[in-house]
Amino acid sequence: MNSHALFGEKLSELRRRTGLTLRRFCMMHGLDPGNFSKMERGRLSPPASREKLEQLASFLQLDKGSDEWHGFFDLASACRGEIPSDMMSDAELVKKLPLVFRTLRGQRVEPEQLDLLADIIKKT
Amino acid sequence: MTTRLDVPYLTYDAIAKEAADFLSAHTDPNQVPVPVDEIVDLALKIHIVPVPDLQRQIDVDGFSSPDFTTMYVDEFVYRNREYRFRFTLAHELGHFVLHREILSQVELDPSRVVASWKEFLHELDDDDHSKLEFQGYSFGGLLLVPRNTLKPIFINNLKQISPMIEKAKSHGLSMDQYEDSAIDRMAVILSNIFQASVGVLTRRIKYDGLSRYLE
Repeated sequence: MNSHALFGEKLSELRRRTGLTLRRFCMMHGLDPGNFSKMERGRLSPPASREKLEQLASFLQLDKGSDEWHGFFDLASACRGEIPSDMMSDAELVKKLPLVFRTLRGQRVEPEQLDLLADIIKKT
Repeated sequence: MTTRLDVPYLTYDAIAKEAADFLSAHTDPNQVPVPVDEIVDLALKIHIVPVPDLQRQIDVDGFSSPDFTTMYVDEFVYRNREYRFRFTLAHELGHFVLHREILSQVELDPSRVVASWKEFLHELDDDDHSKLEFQGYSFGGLLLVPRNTLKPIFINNLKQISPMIEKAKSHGLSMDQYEDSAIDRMAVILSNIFQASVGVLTRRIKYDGLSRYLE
C-alpha cells in the first residue's frame, strides 16, 4: 500500500471514530466532501501546511502530542514528495465500473455516455 | 447475444423480509428515520463519493462499484436533496444485500476493461436488468419506510386527515373517490417523518394495503 493509501485509510478510520459520516463531518467543519473523500481513498495528498493539518487533527479529536497525533503527522509527512495518481489504472477501474444502474427515465445508458462514465470514475 | 445472470424472482414480501433482517442487523429496527447514511458509511465502511454533474451527464443519481467498497452519488443530490440522497443509498443497499453474489460472478476482460464492460451492459438480459432494478428499488422503499414502523405511524397520524375524510363523506363521496387524495395527504405528512419522498411514501402506503384505514 502506498503512502497516500495508508494516510487515507487512517483518515477515514479516525473520521468514522468521531461517529460522523463523511457528509456530516464535512458539513460540520466546512470541508469539501469530494476532496475529503479523495483524501480518504488515497487519491489526494494531505494538506501541505502544518496549520491545516493541525486543524484537521483537531476536527478528528486527536489529543495534541499523543502517540496517535504524532502517528497522524508521520503518515502525512510520508506522502511528501509522492504524487497520488490522478488516474485509475485498468486493474483498479475493473473493480469500480458499475454492473447495474438505472437512469432516471428508465432507459439504458448510451455507449457514449458509458465512455464518459468510465472517464468520470477514473478521475473521481 | 444476451448475457443472463439468472436473477431470481423475489416477491415483495421476500424483499420486505430481507430489508427487515438487514435493518435489525445494523440498527434499532424501530428507529425513524432510518440512519441509512450511518449504516453505509460507519457500519459497512463503504465510501460514499460525491460526483459532480453525474445526473446531468449520465442521467443517474448514483451507483455502486461491484465490489461494494464505493457508492457514487451525484454531488448536487448529495449536497442538496436529502431525501433523494437517502433513497439512492437505500436502493444501492438493495443491490448490496440482494445481488452482490450474482454480480461478483461477472468477469470483465482485464485486457479491454471498458469495452468488455460496455458489452456486458449492452448484452445483459432485459428481464434480468428489470428484476435487478425492481428489487433494488423495492428494497430501497422498504428500508427507508419499514413495514413495522409504517403501519403504527400511519394509524397515529390518521387524525390529521380525518377532517378531510369526514368532509368528503359528507359530500357523498365514496372511498374510491377520495382515496387517492387521502393517500397523497398522508404521504406528505409521513414524508417528513421517514425522510423519504412523497412518491416513496405513496407507494409504500399502497403496497402495504393501508388504504383500508381511510374508510
